[in-house]
Amino acid sequence: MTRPEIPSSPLSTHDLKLAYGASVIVPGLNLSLKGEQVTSIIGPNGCGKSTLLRALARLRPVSGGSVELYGQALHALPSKEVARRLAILPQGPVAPEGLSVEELVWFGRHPHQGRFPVRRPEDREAVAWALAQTGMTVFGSRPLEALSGGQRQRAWIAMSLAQQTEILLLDEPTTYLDLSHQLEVLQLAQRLNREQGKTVVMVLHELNQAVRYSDEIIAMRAGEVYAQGRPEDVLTLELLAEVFGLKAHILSDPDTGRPYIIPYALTR
Amino acid sequence: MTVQISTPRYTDARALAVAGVLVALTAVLAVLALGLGAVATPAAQVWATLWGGGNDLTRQLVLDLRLPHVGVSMLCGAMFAASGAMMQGVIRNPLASPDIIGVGAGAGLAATVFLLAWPAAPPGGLPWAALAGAWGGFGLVLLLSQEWRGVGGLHPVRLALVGVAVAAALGAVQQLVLVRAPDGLGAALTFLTGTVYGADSIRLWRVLPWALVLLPAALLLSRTLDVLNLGEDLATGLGTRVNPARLLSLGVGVALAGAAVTGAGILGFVGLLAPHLARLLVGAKHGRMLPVSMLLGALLVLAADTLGRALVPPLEVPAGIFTTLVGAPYFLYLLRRSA
Amino acid sequence: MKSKLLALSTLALLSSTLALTVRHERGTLELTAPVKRVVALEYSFIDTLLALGVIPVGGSLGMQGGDRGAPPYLRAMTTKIPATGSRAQPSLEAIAALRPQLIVSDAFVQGEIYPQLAKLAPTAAFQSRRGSLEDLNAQTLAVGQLVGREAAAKQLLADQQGLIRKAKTFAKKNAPAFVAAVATPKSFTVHSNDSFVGSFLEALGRRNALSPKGDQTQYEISLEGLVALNPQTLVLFTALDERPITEEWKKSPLWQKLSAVQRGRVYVFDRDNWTRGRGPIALKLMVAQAIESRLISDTVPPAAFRDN
Repeated sequence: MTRPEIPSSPLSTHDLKLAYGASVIVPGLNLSLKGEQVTSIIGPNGCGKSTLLRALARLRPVSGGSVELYGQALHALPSKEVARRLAILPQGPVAPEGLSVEELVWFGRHPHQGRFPVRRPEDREAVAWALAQTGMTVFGSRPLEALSGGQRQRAWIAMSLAQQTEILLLDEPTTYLDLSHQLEVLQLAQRLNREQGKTVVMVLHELNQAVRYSDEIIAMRAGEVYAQGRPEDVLTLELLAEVFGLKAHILSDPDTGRPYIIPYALTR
Repeated sequence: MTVQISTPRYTDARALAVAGVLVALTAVLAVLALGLGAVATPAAQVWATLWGGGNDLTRQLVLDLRLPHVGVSMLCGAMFAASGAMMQGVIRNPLASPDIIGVGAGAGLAATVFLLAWPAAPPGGLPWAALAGAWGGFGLVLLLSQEWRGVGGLHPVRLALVGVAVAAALGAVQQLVLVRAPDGLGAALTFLTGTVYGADSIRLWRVLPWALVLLPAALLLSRTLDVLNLGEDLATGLGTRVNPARLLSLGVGVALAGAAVTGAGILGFVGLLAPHLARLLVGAKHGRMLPVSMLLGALLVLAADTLGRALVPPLEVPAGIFTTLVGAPYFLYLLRRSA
Repeated sequence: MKSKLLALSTLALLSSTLALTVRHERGTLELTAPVKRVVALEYSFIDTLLALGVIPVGGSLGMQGGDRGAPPYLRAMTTKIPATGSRAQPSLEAIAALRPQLIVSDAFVQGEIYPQLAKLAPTAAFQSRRGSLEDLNAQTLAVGQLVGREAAAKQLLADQQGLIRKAKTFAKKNAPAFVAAVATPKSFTVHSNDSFVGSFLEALGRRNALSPKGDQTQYEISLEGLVALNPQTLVLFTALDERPITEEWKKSPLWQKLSAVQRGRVYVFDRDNWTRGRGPIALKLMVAQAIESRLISDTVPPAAFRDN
């Protein structure tokens, strides 16, 4: 895959406006994501973070401005071409009944295949690789319904991986998972970044997880970016109060030296 | 925790086996059906006749009378089943089926009006009229249930309710048109009630080209249907242009139902029953489910028609009565489960 | 002169070879020779064939699909004739199996499957169910030609004419117009002067109060509609095993106000014989009953033809 000459941002927005009918969610956003990093978008409910992520993946129309993929207008690009460069796993995906893990992962090859589903060697390799990366190889023939929540989420991520894109967007990938399965998913995201150089963008709710597994944090409030930067720079007492309305203690994580947040009260 | 490696429930091998059994069953039933009727013909004679033997009478009975019958039954069954399977896949609604969501009723009404307004029309015109009506009925249901706005997001029962209401209304309009119609048109439309009675080679040739184009088209769309079946977000994420893909799939689905209506009228619940049964047998992947569904539809209608011919000969009990008898309770069960 | 003779004889020859050209509702039937094996798909055709001395090899005598089998007057004569299903949905297979040389079908009832019938054997389509007396007489002649009994057919028609002439002598001059209707448990269907029974009763010298509505020779009316017509004479066709809708109407004072009821001129006939039976045999019976019931003479009917 050739990269553009100018190391422009893999994903950026220019005066992006997002609205549901008359209610404006994001009034005008200028954002530039860093490549080959794990970025987490955080913010309170209704701040527009999921809406933004979906717009970044052309899952929803924009009301104004633009999203750019390596400097090209995303919504003008052929959808299939986008799907070869950017994968998105939406919230709570549902598969038709009776599908096996491997069958699900094969869907990831859809953007690479033509009209007829010819299974080329590179498709097989990509599927095997995606299964291996997510530790799902042994579950390949299992029906999805027979898996635990964490395994199922890994299967979905494997499908996105089989798309072999530079960018992977995950919308609240840890929701409904127990703690160990949450860590499993986050570690996987981090490893994909470290080992494969993937650009990972996630919407996360758990602040400490966002801090620990992200290289960059985007904190949103009311449809605007309140702060963007390294976790230790962004997660301040002021931000917690302004964005989340929380009073908190900020400790230092003994492993990473990054902030560790213990909220204890609401500001209002 | 022990890792168990289980074989998937639904495999290509299983689908092939199921399809094989269905093809064999259909073939056996077809030969049986070719021998059954007001005058019984032994299977051996049927077989001989099919290979060019037999006397004049058996040739006439088997080739001229029963073969078109069997052909129309199977084609219309397969088309209704494929139509239902596609609609359920695209709308992601288990209750979507051509006869439930107004497609059949629309086609029936349009066929009636067409025959009334243009009695001397060439026979090829009827399927087109039915097709336009099928779209009209379907569009009306989508509009009223606003299913289009949030496909998959709306409650299945709502679609079914609106569909039943629209089908009833269209049926009433059809009755009204028939009451106002000159004598004789009523008889011309008996086939719309879901019966294969009087199916001849002309009717077979009327349906066949549509089946030959639309059934393979449905199969070609199976991967698109699979992706659409994942939901709008995932389908978009995988690079599918969702709205054109939906429109194309629904177009083929509605056309299948419209063409089937011109062959055998509205065969109740075939479009609901066959895909559900197919999904139970081979899973939800359309590459396996669609062909199995078509085979099941063909088998179902062939069985219903054969039963109807064998029950009280020489009278033919309409095949639609049997499919409805089996399908209606299942529909109610689905309604209960969805509610 | 000679050439003229020659031309005449050629013409005679031609007409004899083309003697079996019969026009019907769906075209012209050309047979090389009169036929013997005939399947008749309406009761009147069975009646006509039997009157001509030809026993059909099959007929729509089935009891399914709303059909009640042969009308009573025809029953004894048709027990040996194989049934080919109902009139609305004749069994094509049963017909094919009989290897008929000719199928006589109803242009209205079997109109849709005419092409299929025509594939099995030469098929004539006549308006029987919707035909008038005149139509039926023409059909007697046509069927007579097809089975090679033209002379017999002409004789039947002549006899019938004689019978009707005789009946007319009973007719009262200037008798008021009648309304004739089939009364079933659910409906009251009047038969206009273009329907078979409607036109038949006119042929006997009584006047029908109703003409066709649009192209419908028979149509339903309500009690109010009947009261509006207020006929002096009412002719009802009912089935012995049914409770006609008029039984319900009798409870209404409106019914009692009908002139026909007050004059005691309500005549009742068996609908199985009168409205499903057409053809020469049925006609003989109907003429006899029309006289016997005193309908023609516009006098109070005897008990057998009285309402109740």
